[in-house]
Amino acid sequence: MINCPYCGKLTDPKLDSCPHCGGYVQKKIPGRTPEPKRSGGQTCPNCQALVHDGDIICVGCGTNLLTGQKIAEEKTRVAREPRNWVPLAALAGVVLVLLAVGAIFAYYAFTRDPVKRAVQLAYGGNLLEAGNVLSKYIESHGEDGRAQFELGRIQWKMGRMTEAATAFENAFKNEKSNVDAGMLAVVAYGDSTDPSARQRQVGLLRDVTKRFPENGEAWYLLALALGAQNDVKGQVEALKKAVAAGVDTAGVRQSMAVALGLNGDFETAVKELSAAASSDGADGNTAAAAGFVASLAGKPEVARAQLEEAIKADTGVKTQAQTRLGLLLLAEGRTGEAAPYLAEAAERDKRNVLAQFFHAAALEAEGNALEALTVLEAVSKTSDVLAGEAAVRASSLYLAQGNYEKARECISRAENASMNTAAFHTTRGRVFLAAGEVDRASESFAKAREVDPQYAGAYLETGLLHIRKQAFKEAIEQLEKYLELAGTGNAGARTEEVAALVEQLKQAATGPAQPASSPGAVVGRSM
Amino acid sequence: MSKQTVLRILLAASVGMALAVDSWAWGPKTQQAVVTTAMHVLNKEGVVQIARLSREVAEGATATAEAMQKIHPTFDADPMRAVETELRLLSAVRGQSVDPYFAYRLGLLGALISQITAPLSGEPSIYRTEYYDDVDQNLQQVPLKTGQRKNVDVVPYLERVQSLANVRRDLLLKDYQAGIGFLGVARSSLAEEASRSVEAVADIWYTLLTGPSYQSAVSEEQVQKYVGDAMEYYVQRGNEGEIDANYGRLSILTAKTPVFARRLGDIFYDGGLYERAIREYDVVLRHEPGQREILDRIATYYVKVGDQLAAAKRLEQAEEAYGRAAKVDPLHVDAEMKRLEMEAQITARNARQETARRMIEEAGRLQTDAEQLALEGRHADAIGLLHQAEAKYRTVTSEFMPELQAANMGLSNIAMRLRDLTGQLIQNAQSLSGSGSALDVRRLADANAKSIDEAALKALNAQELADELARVKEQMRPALEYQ
Repeated sequence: MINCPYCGKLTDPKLDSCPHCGGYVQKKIPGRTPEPKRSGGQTCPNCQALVHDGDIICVGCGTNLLTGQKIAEEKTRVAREPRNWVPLAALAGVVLVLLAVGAIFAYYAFTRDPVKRAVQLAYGGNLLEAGNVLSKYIESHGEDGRAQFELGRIQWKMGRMTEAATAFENAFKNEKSNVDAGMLAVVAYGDSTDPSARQRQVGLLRDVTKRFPENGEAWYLLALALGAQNDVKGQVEALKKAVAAGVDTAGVRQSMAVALGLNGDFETAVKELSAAASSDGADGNTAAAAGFVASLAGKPEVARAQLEEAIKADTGVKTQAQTRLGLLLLAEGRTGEAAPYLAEAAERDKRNVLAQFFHAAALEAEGNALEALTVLEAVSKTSDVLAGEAAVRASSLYLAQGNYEKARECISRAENASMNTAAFHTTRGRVFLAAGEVDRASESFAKAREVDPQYAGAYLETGLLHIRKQAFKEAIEQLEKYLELAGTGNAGARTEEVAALVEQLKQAATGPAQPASSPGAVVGRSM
Repeated sequence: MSKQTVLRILLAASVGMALAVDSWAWGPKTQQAVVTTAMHVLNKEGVVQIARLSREVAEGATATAEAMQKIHPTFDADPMRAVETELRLLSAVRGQSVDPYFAYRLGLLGALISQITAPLSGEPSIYRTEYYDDVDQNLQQVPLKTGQRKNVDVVPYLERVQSLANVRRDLLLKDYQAGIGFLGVARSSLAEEASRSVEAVADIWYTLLTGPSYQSAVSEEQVQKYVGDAMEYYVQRGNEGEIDANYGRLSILTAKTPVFARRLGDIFYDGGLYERAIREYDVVLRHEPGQREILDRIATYYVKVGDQLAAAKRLEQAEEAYGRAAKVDPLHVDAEMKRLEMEAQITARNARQETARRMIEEAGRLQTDAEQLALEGRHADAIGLLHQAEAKYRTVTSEFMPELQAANMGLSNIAMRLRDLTGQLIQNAQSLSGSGSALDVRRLADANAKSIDEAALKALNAQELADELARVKEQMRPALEYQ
């Protein structure tokens, strides 16, 4: 019996290695010079990294300082050893002993593994130190998937989702079969605030689905992530793959419908939504999706019904649903019904300027001009794209109230907001007219018609200006154009009154009555 | 002023007047001068105030040969008897005063007398013509002498005067044959010759005007002829008042026989005095109802009257006139046809008038309705109704003046109201300003709809992604835990 030069315990000299620590006892590695007694200043024979006394594995290259072999090589070597059961059977007892010794040795060795150590540190709650250990380790062992994975877990625990995602992604790259690493990276990217997180998430999901094409969940996430990137075609394809992989939930159907709807395939979208609605997972979101798809498909009645249902059932897009429902009701002239929806939408989301603006429009239509003006004034002073429109409408409302000064102030605000719409020029012309500047008013109306030849209001105001000048023929032309463009069904546009006015003008344009005895009196009047 | 001087002046004035008219006798100037001088002599002597009728006297004195022949067809054969006959006739018809035709006949009588009393009157020759021409040329320088007026027995008187006029016949002819002409006896005797003619005319007129009436010596036919000629004279002068006055005075001179009435009727008819003519014709027809010519004349007159009334749109009167014509002469070629035509026109006119009245009534109702609509602020409808009313008023034509006046009044009101309503229209129209902005809400809503829809769908997608990630996260939580 001899003492193991490494652990000092009694060892059979016939053995190649110490059964306690696995240290090499007698057999020398060919070509290798006997190692000098290691002290605190020893280096790894393989990578020349500084190792300490008692180190078994070089943290730099993973070389077993006892055997001189890298762990992987050792495994390979062990795997390549012929499994000769006959001698082993004879030496079973010995092997058992050796295994026991080896286990002891391994325990010892592993407690010296930085990954393990980090895990232990993390387990003990010392996440920072664990992370440092792993980070330091990974600096020289970037390919160590396990270390990357552990680092990912630690980063996750520390709430550092971008770093966690990166670590998991690296782990997934190094450990091809570690789908968990991939999925955790995807999830971590989802919580990441990094601007490139979505892109990296999509790339990672592409890798996952490529490596694990049967992973329906990965396909579904990829589809949703692509959808978030506005890649609706890619989203549709991914969803199809998810379904093919066996994921066929209401959520998938709804997502499919959303993607199809955004892609303009409303018919199929509606079918998918019907399927989703009839499944167990249907909820307010499904109704909301159906409402918005119907709206895009130009079916306001269906959209209104679905959105009402979504709002009742509660949906994650309740504000949008209320806003859109309000607009639909406004378009139908049901301003009284629209106002509460728009008011709540504006209340729920103070940044929802759109809802505020249209809430003001609904209030205006309901005759609540003062409240409408309050809202419009507020909107007009924001930096929102609707600020200019709000200023124009406020100016129009002030004109209706006869408040010329405020009207001019608002139209100036709209002008400062670089408004160049037909509505702006038309209201500006009305302000000029209120100030008695007929020529400038006429120019503004002309500008409005030039900016948007389909803008009805410009023709109405031009026609009314002609009436002021008693140029009835020209007035009739303009007003008829207004009626043509305005269509019917909007009480606020007062088209029936304008039509009556046109008739009046036609009659008025016939001129004064002639004496009955005048020549041709029976024939009729002259224009 | 001596009597001769006065006569010289009168003669000069008479010659001056004679120069202004076409005449014949001695010479035309002399003949007229003789007659008119005689008139002035009698006027001056106070026998008769006839100067105011000098024009008619001169007209008679210068009457054409045809006119003279018509009145005195026997003058050429027996001029003195003709003068006598005329004197008797005129004395029979003379009244208290001299009327224009009587003056005309006096002039004519004077002309006859002057012709009889002219020297060489029975010697038609070139010398007589030369003598008369010379007298015409020199008459103004001749002093005339007149004597006392006297009633005369016409024929012996004229024979005596004529014999005196022929005393110098031979001397005169000799002078002219010798080439002395007027410078001889003619010149020296002119005053005497001319004075004799004037005296003869004046004496016979005096006898006529102051002597006894010869009514018994004048036949009814002569009087009727005189009255007829007188009325013809007056009708030609065309003075209705004169015709009336003299018709009344003359018609009592003789009985209105059918023939006389017929003549008077013809005179009036030809003179265009149809109503008078018809009254005369009625007299004829009362005696001789079957007078076709008169019936045709009366009917033609009524048809003519009917035509004039029809042209003046006096349809009822026209129809009545045509009816009269048809009644007077049922065989008249146009009368009944035109009456029926007028009857149809009256029916049509009445229908038109009824229509015009209805139009006015309807227009009035429309105006009332329009005012109501205007009060309700429905200006378009009000203007429309006013224009309808206007159209109805305009169907009324000048055919019916009362209706036309009503229509014109309505049109004036409509014109005023249309102006008012047009003013209100312009004012009210401005209240529509800004209505176009109501369309902006829908336009903006439509403009934002797609973005809202798409944003909402994307939000749903994002939410689903978040939910799914959360679910996966939860699912993988064990892998993250340290156990």
